[in-house]
Amino acid sequence: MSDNLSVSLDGTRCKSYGICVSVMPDVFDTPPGSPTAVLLRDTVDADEREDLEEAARVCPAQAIALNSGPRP
Amino acid sequence: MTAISPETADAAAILDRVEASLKNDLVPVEIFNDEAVFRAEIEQIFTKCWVFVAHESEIPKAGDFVQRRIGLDPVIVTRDGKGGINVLSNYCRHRGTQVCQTDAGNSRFFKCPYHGWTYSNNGDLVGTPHMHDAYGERLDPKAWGLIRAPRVATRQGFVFASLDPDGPSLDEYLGGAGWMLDLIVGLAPGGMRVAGPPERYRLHADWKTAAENFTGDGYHVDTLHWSTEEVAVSQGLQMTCEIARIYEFENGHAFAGHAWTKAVHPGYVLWGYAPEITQHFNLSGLDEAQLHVVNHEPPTVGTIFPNLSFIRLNTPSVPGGPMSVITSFRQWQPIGPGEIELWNWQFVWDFMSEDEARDSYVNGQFTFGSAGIFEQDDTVAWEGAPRAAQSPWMRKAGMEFHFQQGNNSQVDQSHDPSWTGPGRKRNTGYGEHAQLHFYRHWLNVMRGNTGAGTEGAE
Repeated sequence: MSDNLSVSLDGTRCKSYGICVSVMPDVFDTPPGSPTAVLLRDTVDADEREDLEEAARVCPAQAIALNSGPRP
Repeated sequence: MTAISPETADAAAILDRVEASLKNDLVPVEIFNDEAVFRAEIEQIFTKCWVFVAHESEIPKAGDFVQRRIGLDPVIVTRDGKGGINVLSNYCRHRGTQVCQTDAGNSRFFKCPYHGWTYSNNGDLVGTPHMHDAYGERLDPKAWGLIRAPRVATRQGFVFASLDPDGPSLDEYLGGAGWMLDLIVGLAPGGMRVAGPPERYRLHADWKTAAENFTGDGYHVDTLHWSTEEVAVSQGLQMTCEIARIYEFENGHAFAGHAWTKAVHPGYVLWGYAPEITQHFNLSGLDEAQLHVVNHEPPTVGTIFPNLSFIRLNTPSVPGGPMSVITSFRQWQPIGPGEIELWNWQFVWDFMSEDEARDSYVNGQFTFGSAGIFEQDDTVAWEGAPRAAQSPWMRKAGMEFHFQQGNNSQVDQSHDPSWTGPGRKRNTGYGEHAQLHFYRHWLNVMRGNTGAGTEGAE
């Protein structure tokens, strides 16, 4: 579905600030024992675009990217 | 009971001597280079008075910031996403590292380079690395945000901060100096803006010497700056004090203007600005006294206590060349005893084109920039006082600087009885009254008395 957005998390940049978790708790998590945040899913619906953009924008490590269109 | 450290006791003894000296219009030399006095100035003056930190035109857009100082403390002045102006201490709450390491820029965040604590541009702590493992939960963004200046306010786009949560409002603090600022930069819709970032240069001078000079020291002009007359940049410098008008306001602020319409010709109104500039002016908001001042006796220099000064003069950009009016605001940043950084902003009218603004900037720098023909004179002369102040010989001799110029002069230095503006006005630059006004207020603030009032009984 081209309406869906894919999200990627750069594990080499992430410092587990956890800000993304507070913005989209059902997409991001900082589980105990993990040095970085993890993705709970890698696609989000079009109506979640605003939240995802916010999560990417507020990431101090600039580790979150969003990509339009279907995943390859 | 508060413990009195030897340093505090030293400062107290010096202030006693200042008080005794000022009664005779003298100023003891040691206040211009003394560790105890300097510490006391930072504590008594720069944490209590309203201090200029930026002009709004330096941070027009959301995310814009500049790094500035209040006394010795670095602060970040930011425009946040909601358009608000924040004055934030540039010390990380975790270990004190400076979270902002550049002079200016645009950013939503300030991330500490040490451990990565990250603050929003409104000061809130927004994130800590490895939050769950390190802290278990999100730290309170407000409780652990950057410490904010308790009060921030603006006048004509000039942003001031006070580290004292109590005390007079900015407008009350400025008093007549705010009235004067209005007529200096508020003449055209949109007012004035900075022509660029401040030029900064370090001097072995005391901030008070510079601030005192800009309250209205017309007496130095035809000696120290005489070379400008010789190369036809200036004309008629011998008249500087004679045609000067001194404006003294509450809280140590003072300005000096000149009666240009009397000295040059009756049509030489509004600082001598050219018609292509004055056609943009709208004087309808000025009161009667302000109208008289801008047309006939406009301020040339001024100091807003403690350390913001201003100069506006009509000057050629090259010897003998065409005239244009420059406006510089400058801040005397205390660095240590007998040492300052001079921060120099050229201001231009908001309506000016980029070409006009650049020409004005260059002209301003030519006269009052680090290599400006006036500035070079001043900055050398000001380096004497800290040397004298540190001389064991001069201290032993009890050296005092002479401010008794008005005592036996036959020139009428009385207050102008017809003056209807704020504060008081004198119709001569002789008498060193503005300088004494500055030092008397300095003493009051150093004594812990920051109450408003026009001190300085004659």
